Amino acid sequence: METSISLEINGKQIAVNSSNLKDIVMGYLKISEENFRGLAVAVNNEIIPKSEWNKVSIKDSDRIEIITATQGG
Amino acid sequence: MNDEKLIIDGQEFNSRLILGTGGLPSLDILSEIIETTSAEIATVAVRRVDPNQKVSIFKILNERSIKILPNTAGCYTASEAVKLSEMARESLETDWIKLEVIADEKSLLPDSTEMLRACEILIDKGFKVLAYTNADLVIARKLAALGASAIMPLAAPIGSGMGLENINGLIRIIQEIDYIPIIIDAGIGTASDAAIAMEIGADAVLVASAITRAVDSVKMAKAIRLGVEAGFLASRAGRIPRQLYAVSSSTKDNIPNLT
Repeated sequence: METSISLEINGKQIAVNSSNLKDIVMGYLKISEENFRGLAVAVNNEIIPKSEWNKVSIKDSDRIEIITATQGG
Repeated sequence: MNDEKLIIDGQEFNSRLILGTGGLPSLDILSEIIETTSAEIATVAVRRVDPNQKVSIFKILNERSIKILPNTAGCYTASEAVKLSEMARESLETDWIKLEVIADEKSLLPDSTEMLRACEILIDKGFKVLAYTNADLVIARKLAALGASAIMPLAAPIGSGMGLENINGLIRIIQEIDYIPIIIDAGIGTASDAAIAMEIGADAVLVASAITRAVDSVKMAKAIRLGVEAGFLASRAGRIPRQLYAVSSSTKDNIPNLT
């Protein structure tokens, strides 16, 4: 049985099976790597550059923010 | 129309109308509005991604080669604004930031002390700051002295459509700060407001709600584009002085005696 990690993404509690940040982002947004442009990710308030997503391991209770551009003046 | 370019941070633009995308009912009409305004710069907000949102404003603007100007709308403190700016830079691949730090939800007016603090930190971190501000010459001068790339004094509160509430305050900023662009931002309600903003010598105007929340956004986009162009031409044309009494335009010579 895979270990489940409980974390927060954009204010929502979710459980994931992989600890790899890149996998978590792709799973949450249901996107592939070609669609990473326009996104930024912070883990516990620290911005992680896209090139590092693959190297970051997420732990229980980590807080992830995934942002992008939206309509705004 | 005119070969005098708008220059911000060394980059040249033909259009002096910056489009704010806030208030758009949907992204469906964004392309048409961009086309109608001829805007080359558009602002966006930076928010949590919606996993169900399939259309990306980032993609639409990129495909049309529109310069993206992310803002820090929604920030109440310098530290929030700095953090959001860093996320904007990482996600949107630009070091431009329209810095706004607001004081309260009702007025959405800028908090000048937090603005100055954030502006200093961001410039230190290599950002090109386009600084939203009250039409206050002293604060505008301080933001410029910190190294802001443009000053964006407000005409009136965001989305209020009240037009140029403090026109003399705006004129003072335009006259006293002549080495970076002055972009009149917020409060424009209709085409004549945009025209007056340009006539008093602003380098550009930023319009969001007046277009996006108009009954017919595309028609208003055209009206405001024409207003900006008319106002800019007028600002370069040398208007006649205002005088309290008439100055006859018909000759006074050789009037026939009809008494």
